[in-house]
Amino acid sequence: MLRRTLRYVAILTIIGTLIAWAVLGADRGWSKTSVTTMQTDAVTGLEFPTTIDRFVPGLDFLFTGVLAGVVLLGLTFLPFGQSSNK
Amino acid sequence: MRTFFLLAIGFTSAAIAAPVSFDFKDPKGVNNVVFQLDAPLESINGTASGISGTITADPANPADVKGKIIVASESLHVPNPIMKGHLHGADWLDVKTHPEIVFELKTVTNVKRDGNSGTADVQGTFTLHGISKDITVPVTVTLLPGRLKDRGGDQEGDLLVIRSKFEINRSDFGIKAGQATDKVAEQISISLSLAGAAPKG
Repeated sequence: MLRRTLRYVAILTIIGTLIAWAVLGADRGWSKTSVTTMQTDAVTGLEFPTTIDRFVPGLDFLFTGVLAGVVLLGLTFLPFGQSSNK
Repeated sequence: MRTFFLLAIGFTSAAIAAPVSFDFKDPKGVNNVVFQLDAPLESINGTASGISGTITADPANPADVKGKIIVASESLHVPNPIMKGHLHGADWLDVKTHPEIVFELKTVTNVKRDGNSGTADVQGTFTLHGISKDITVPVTVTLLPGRLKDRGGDQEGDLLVIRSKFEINRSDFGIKAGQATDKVAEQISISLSLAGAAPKG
């Protein structure tokens, strides 16, 4: 029962990570906690950055989430506790 | 230096009879520096907004052009918080020990004018990470006579808009010289967008 639950959690972790990464921008760089966009000042014509706080998961987030799920899934196939049942 | 004076101030020389100072501490927060370094996964793109300084020119003595632009090291921003921590930390910029990045104007050459705009090469001393080097940067300058009030304040005055793009090597300024070149490029591309204000009266 525990083994099956852990497998569900592992699969949910992998799928959840993939969905979160894709929905939040599918950024192929490092994760970011702010997003900067350039605007133009009407008087001077200068471009200037405006920064807002927003989490954008990057490849490090994707790799860590998928790896955690795969490791957890792999653990459920190890023969822990099976010898006592025989 | 005379040519720089003509470029920066001379557009309105008839109206100006005393030394004119353009203050680059912009209350609107438009003044900024954008910097970029190549790195393996993605280029590092950052900004800085903590800009101050003045540029002054004297119509009676055109050779006497002074000024410096100061960037608060603490204002350098990159979107990844871990990267920002490294950038500000003792191994890289060490912003606590070196709180300012300064460009001090020395001479101006190769001036080309076109109405209220022009281009020139500015030689000056660039101080980063506590190390000063003389460098030459190309600038584009535009004077906006009487446009200060258009930015929302009560004061009449002129605006001086300066744009510049140049590159430096971090090793020239003792920033991990010869180290971590596989993670962060030696060359740093810098883009300045500045507006200075000279209130009248």
